[in-house]
Amino acid sequence: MSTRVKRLIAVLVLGIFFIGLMGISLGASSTSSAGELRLATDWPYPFHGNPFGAGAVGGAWWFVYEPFAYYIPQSDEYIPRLAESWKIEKGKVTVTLRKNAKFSDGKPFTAKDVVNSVNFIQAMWQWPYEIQSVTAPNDYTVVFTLSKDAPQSFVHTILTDAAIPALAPYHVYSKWANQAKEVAELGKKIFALTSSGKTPDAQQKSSYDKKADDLRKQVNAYSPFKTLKRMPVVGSFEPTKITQSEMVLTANKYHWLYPKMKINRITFRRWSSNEFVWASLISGEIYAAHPNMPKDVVEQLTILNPSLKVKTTTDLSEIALVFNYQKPLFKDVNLRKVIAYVLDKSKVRDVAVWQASTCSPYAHGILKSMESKWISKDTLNKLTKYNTNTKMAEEILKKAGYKKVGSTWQQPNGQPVAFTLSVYGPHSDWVLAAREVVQQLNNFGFKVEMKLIPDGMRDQVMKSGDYEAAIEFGVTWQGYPHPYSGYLRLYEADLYNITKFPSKDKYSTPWGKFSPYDLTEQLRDVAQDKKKSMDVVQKLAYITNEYLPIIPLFEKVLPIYYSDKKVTGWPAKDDPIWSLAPGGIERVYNLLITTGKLAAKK
Amino acid sequence: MRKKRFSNFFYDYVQPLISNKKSLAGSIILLFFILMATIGPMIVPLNMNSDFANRYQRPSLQHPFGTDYFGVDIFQQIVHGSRSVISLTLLASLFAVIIGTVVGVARGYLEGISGKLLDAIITVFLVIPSFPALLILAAIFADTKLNTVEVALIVAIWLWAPLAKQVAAQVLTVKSREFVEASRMLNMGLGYILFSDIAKLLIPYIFVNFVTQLKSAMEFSIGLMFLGLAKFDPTHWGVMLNYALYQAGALYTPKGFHYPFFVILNIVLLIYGGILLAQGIEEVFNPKLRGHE
Repeated sequence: MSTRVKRLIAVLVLGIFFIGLMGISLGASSTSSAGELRLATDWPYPFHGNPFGAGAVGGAWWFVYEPFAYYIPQSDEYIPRLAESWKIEKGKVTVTLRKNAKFSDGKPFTAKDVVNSVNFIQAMWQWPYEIQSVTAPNDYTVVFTLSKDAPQSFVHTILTDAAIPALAPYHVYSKWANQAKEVAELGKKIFALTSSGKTPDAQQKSSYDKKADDLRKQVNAYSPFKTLKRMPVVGSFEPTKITQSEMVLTANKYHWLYPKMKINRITFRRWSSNEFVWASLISGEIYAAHPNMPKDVVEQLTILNPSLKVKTTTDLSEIALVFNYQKPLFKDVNLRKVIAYVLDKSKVRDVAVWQASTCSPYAHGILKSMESKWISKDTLNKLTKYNTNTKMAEEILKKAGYKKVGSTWQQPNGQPVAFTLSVYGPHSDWVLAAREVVQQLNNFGFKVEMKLIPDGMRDQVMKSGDYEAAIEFGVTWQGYPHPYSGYLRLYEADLYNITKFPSKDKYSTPWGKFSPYDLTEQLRDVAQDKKKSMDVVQKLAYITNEYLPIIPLFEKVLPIYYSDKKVTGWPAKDDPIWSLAPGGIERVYNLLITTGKLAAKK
Repeated sequence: MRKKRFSNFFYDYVQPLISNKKSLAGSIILLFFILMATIGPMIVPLNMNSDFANRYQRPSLQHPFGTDYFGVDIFQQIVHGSRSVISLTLLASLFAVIIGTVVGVARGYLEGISGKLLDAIITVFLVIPSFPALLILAAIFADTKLNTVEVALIVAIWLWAPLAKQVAAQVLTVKSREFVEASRMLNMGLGYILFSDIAKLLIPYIFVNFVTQLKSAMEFSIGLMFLGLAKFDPTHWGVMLNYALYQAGALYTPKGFHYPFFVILNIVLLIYGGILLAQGIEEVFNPKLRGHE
């Protein structure tokens, strides 16, 4: 081969190499197509498209599944989605389905899909057993019969939870439909027996365990994305291209609102860290996200990307200092009151989440943003205000027999007031809050050390009670925006399970002695009746404020950053639609897209 | 007699180190940090009270390194944090070097099953991914309050294997030399041959390794703090760096540039001081590189 030919080949190879390289880089660059919304989230990879598989479908959830209705807390309004209408009777909810809803593969959505979905989630997740039975009198009517123990609030769950209507489309999951129904029925029977204090028959239990395990193994391993080469969904978008770093959703052309949609593609970048999302917002790589961001970073961001706007809305949750009541130190309400008086909550908020709402001086278990709706002025006048007051704190301690020796407070038994404050390491705002709390308590004369809970071990540590005090979510109203959600968490459910606050004891109030557990049960039964709820809430608020099972630090907010450079139609800052964000911000984006409000900028 | 011995030690070891520029500079830097860790906290008071309104103050006479995201003086934290940084990293590196040298020398000298067994142990520690292993340790020791020595030992467990492998290779090349053969013929004990004949030759090499371990030891100790294994110390430089980069986002605002900068500067200086000293020692004691003669 002559030298000339060799040179020519070398040039050609190099040329092809560079062209290929350019192609790759162009393909990887952030090209924006018309009608595209770019966001950040997380998802399982390899993607399986199975809501029961590990990681489910990640942040695509609210785009691929629809609930019967969306509930807007600020305007107290239900917006029908998969349901046309519904009727609530005692122990029964009848839902009339939308006739023109279809899955993304063109198959119609019917009552059969709802029945199948409920069977599947009961069999796979052992929830929601509050649904005693679900029947389909015709293709477009579903009747939910609730168990006698179901709280009134469960009606809200049925209407707004996206898992209930179409998580397991019949035509996709029919292979296991009978098996799921059988397991769900067995599970409900066992649950009913256990709830009524009876012990299920050992054989019945072992038969259930075997059948449930068998079903779970098969369903968990199933990948519609691999088997069907797609993921048929009833939502407005279907995942169509998923790589490790990018997930693309394409509009469901059979969705009943498809003709209105002006955004036909959603591209997610992986939310690998908050810093990645900050950088992506600054560069315009993504158009909206809700990361926690330090104040100075926000200032810099608005300089570098002036098209970005920020809207903060309540997250319907609060961050609190919680105590382990198995430890004798915290059984003394005086000590808890002292901690409430010592803490400068505004300072804690400033360093942790500067955008969070103003701190409430109360600890009544009602979110600050909802206080005026639920607590009467008369009740507020009866409650102790925990403004920062170290003198008051010292007086309480002295009266209770504590002594200050040197710079350290000692308990009446001579032991120093010393404890460890645990905080979940990966939650940076919690770590910052904990650092500030520790500093303030040490300045006062307590001996407090900080301990980080390693990634992935929060549940294990908190549920096993291997902590003294901790930073945790306090009351949260995300599932059902009602005081019942907060008090249930505090006195019966999640927080009670980790704090073991003696909620069945009776506590004095201006209205007599009550146990917060009983009051929460009462509230459950009257949750849908505002007047009756108010009556119970006043008593619960009093007990919570005066006996301090937890000390709230601040109400969390969701800072939503959005850019109108590529996409327009974002609602005004006071639009109630933003209040749909807590617990699933993608619902806001989905509602805006499917109502034709969001559109690519021309 | 004692005076003569001291004089010999001074002329044999100290003077060559002083006359070597690298080892002198390295010693000065390390001495500075050791003084900072020992005397510093007594001279410089620490006020950790946050003052959010005064966050990210630029360096000034009042705040030589400026203030951090919490409005706390960075210099004060660097001085007080140096104690835990230096004690933990030095101890961890020391333990790693001791374990690595003992196992490495033994592996290099021993043959047959015992040699292979040691080799297998080294290989196992070389291939265990350290981060998952730390997670497991975090779960095991979650309830235990470990002191600095115990934490340093845990860190050392993940650092000694590469050194052992390298030392073993060095020993294999040395063990057939004449003076080792002579010791064998004189029926000197195994311990004498291993640690008097062979290990001596490796001292400069081991010292260089000791210094380069500092950085890894520092990273591991920070990891342990964030895993909740070691007592959380907000003035530890690694924790300060973590706060600066991940919690406070100091890299994303020009106001906060000095916050990670001064922390990184001190870490780099500490490690650089060690490297200079190690290089100096090697030049002084390695005949091939000896420059002072």
